[in-house]
Amino acid sequence: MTSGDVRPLLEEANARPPAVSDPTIDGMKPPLVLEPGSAKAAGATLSFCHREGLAVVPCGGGTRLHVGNLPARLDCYLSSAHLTGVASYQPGDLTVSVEAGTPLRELQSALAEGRQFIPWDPPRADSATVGGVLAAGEPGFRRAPGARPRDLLLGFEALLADGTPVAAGGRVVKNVSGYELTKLLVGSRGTLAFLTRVHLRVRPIPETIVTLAASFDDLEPLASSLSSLRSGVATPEVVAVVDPAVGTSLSLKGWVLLVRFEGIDEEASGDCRKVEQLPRANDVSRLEGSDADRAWNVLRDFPSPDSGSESECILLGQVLPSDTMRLVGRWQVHGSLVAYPEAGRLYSKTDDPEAYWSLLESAQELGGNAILESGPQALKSQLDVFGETPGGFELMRKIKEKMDPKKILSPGRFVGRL
Amino acid sequence: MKSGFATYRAPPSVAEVAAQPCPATRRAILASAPNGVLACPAMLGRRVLGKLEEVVGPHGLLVRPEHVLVYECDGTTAFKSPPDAVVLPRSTEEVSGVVRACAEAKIPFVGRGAGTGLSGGAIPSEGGVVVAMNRMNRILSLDVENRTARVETGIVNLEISRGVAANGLFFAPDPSSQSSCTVGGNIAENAGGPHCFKYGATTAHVLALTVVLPNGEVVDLGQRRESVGYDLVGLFIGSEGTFGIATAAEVRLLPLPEAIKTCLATFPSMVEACEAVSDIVALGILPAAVEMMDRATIEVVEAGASAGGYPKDAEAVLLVEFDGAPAGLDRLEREVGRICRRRGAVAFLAARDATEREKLWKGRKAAFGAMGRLSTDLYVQDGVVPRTRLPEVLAKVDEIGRKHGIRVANVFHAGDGNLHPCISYDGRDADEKRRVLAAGSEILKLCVSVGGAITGEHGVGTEKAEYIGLMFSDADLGLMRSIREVWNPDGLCNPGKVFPTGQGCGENALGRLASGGGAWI
Repeated sequence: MTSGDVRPLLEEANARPPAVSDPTIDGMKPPLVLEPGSAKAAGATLSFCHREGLAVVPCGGGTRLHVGNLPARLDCYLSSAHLTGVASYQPGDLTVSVEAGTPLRELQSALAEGRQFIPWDPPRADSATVGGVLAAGEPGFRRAPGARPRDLLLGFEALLADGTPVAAGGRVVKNVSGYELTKLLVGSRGTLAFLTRVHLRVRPIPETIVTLAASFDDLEPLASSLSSLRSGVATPEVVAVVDPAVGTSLSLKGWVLLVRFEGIDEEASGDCRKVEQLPRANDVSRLEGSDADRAWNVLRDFPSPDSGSESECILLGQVLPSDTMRLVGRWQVHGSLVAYPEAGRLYSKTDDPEAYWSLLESAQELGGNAILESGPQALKSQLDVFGETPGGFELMRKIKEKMDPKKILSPGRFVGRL
Repeated sequence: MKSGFATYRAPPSVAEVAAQPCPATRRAILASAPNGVLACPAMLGRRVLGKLEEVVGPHGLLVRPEHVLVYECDGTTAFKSPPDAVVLPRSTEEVSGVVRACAEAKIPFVGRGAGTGLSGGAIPSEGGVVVAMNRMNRILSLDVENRTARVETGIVNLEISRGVAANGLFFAPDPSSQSSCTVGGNIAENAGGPHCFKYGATTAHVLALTVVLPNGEVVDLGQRRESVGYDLVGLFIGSEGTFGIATAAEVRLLPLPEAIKTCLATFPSMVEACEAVSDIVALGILPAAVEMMDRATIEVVEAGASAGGYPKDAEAVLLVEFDGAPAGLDRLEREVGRICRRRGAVAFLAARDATEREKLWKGRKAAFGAMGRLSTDLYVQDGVVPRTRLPEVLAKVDEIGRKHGIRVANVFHAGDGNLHPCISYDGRDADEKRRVLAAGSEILKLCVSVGGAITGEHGVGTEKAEYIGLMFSDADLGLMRSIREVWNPDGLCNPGKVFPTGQGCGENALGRLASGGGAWI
C-alpha cells in the first residue's frame, strides 16, 4: 500500500482494520479505517494520505456509500465518527453550527429544544450524519426549494485533499461574501473535500403536519387527480405516488397518493379539504400520529438497499415534474416504485438487471435521466451509474483536477468517473 | 478644457483613431481632442473594433466617449472606470462572438445588466469592453405546469413577474431595484431583497443557465429537472461576473400567494423593535419579510415624495409581512399585534387593501433614494450579523457614528440581520471623508467580529474587495481563486473584483470610494 512509515498515520488517525459493521462499497472494504479525533488530526491524516497517494473515501454514517461508480482505488475510509457535537446553537438566529460527523438525529434532538428542525429525512436517517447528508445531497422526501441541503448549508469548514483547512460561506442566514462554494460541496460525494464543520439554517417546527392518503384503483385516475391538485392553490410540502406493492406495506390498498401538508393550522386544514374533494379517489383518509410516521418512514427508507439481496437494483429516474406520471406509466411493470411528482423523481427497486436500461431509455425519451443507485457489481462495471454526462462536464473535470490533482478523494466514483 | 458651441469640434471618429496601428498614436490623437475626451478606444485596435462591429452590427457598438460615459460606474457612483467600447448584443451567439474577439485580443470585458449594483461589480476596472445585455430582454418560453420560464438575462426583474402574472405566478427575488435591475445582474450578485427571508435569494430561483465562458464557448448548465454532477449553476450564481456571462436562464416561478398581510408597528426604541422581531420569529411561522427603519431614515423618507406615512417621531418602524391562506393571516395579524404592543409599540396597523400595502412599502423601497438628498455622497453598507445580536450591534454602530461625528441612518432586513447603514457625507470635505472612512471600516469589522459577514446581498465587487480578508484566510481565498481560474483562466472576465487587488488596505479602498463624486441614487 505504501512505501513510507505508516506509524505516524496510525497514531494520529486512530487507524484500525475494518469491522463487520463498517459499510462496504460494491462488496469491498478498504484495509484501513481512519477515525481522527479532531479536525486538526483529520488534517494531518489527510495530508499523510495525500503524500502517500492513498485513495481516501470520506465516510459519515456510511448510509449512502453504495451510490457511485466502482471505486478506481480504495485504500481507506476517512471517518467523521469522532467529529461530533453541536458547536453553537442560537434558536433566535435560525442557525446552528455542528461538527460534520454529528448524527442527524442528535442534531434534530438538540434543535427540538428550540422548537426547530432540519427538514431532512434521508434514507436510514437514524444512522446518517449531517456531513454525509450534505455530501450526498440527499435530503429525502422533502425537496422543495428552501428545504434542500443546498438551501440550508450557510457555510462550512473542510479539509482539502492535501489536508489544508479551508472555510467558505459564513454563519449568518444571508451572505454573498466570496464564491458560493457551499453549492459546490453539496452533492460532491466526497470527491472534492472532507467536511469537518458546517453552519446550517434551521426551520421552525411547523404548527401542523397533516398526512392524507388517497387510494385509487388504477394509475389513470390517480394522475388526473394529481394534476387537479397541482393546478390548484394547495401547496403540499410533499406529494408521493406509491405503487400497490409498497402501498401494502403501508396497509393501504391500490395506488396511493400520499400528501403531506406542513404549516399553520388554518392553511393546512384548508388544503386538506381540497385533497378530500379529489373527484376520482376511492377513499381519502387522514393518517394520524404513528400511522403517518410509519408511512413516511417507509418512503424515507425505500431507496436503501436490502441487505442480503445480491441482484437488487435501486433506480432513480429524473424527469420534469410534469412528466413524472408518464414515466411511472411506462415503468410500472418492472418493479416496486415510489415517485415524487413535484420533484420529478421516480425511485424503483427491482431484481431485473435489464431494468436500468429500460428506465434510462424511457426517461431519455422524456428528456430525462436515470441513475443506478445500487446494483450488482457486474452491472455497475458496464456503465456510468449516473447516466447522463451533464452540461459543463469539462468544467467539473477541471474543478476536480484543481481541488484534487492527485485523485485521492473517492477516485473514480463520481459522475463521469471523476 | 475649452468647450462651447463656437469652438466645438467633433471628437475623432472611431475609424480615424482605429486606423492608427500604434496604441501610443491612438492615445495621442485622443488626448488632443479639444472637447475633453474621458474615454477612448485606445486599448482596442482597428482589427478588434472591426471584429466587434462585425458581430453586433454598427448599431450595437458604442465607442464615442459621450456614449460610453454612462457605463463607467454602477449604483455605487463612487467607483468609476470608463470602458473603451460598449457592445449591445442581441443573442447568445453575438455575446459569444464578442467574448471570443476579446479573448483572442486579450482585452478585458465585463457583462452588465442595468448597472444598479451596489458594490462596483459591473464597472470595467481595467477598461476594455462592456457587454451590455439590455437588448436581450425577452421571456423566451413559459411552462405553467412546471412553473418555469426561460428568459434572456437582460430582462428586468419585475418584467418576469409582470409577464407571468396572468398565469397566477411570480418571480420571487425582489431587490429594491427590481423595477430596473436585470435578472443577469441578480444572478451575478445572487441578489436578495426583503422577501428572500422566506423565499431565499436568487440562487433558490434559478434552475439552469446558458453561459458564455470567458473563452467564448457556450455551455448549458443545469436542467429544469434534477440533474447530476457538481452544482455549477449554484456555483455560478453569485460569482459576480467573474466566471462568464449568463445569457439565458431557466427561472423558477412561484404561485402568487392567496393573500398578503402587511403590518406596521412603531416603537420608542430600536431595542424594543428588535425584541419584537425575536418574538415574531419565535412564533415558528416565517414571515415573508421583516424590515426595519430607524429615526434618521424615517425622517428622510417622510420628507420626500415617497412618504410611507410613517410617524415622524418614531425611533423605529417595523414592517412585517406574512403571506398564505387568508384565514391564517388574520390570526397572525392579531398575534403580531399583541407581540408588538407587549414590546412597547406605540402604534400598530395592518394594511386593509393593496393600496395601503403599497403605501407602507413605498417608503421602505424609496429609502435609499431619499438619502440622496441629504448630502452630495452616500455610502451604503451591507453587513450581516446574527439576528439576535442586532440590538447590541445597532447601538455600537450608533456609537461609532457619534465617535466620528457622522450620522448613520439604518434601514435593514431585520429578519435576517442584514444591515444597510447609510452614511451621507460631502466627499469634498476631506476631514468628513476621513471620518466616514474610519467609521465604515469599523462597522464592517464589527459585523465580522460578532460572527457576521461583510455583504449579505450586494456582493463584494470593487468596493469590498480589500475587506474580504476579514472573513477568509489566504487558504480560503486561494481556493476561491483556483475555482475562478477554472472558469476564467486568463482573468479577462471582469477583472479587479472580489479579491484584494494588493493595491492597498481597506482604508485605501474607501479612500478611492470617497474620492468619487455624485450622490448615490
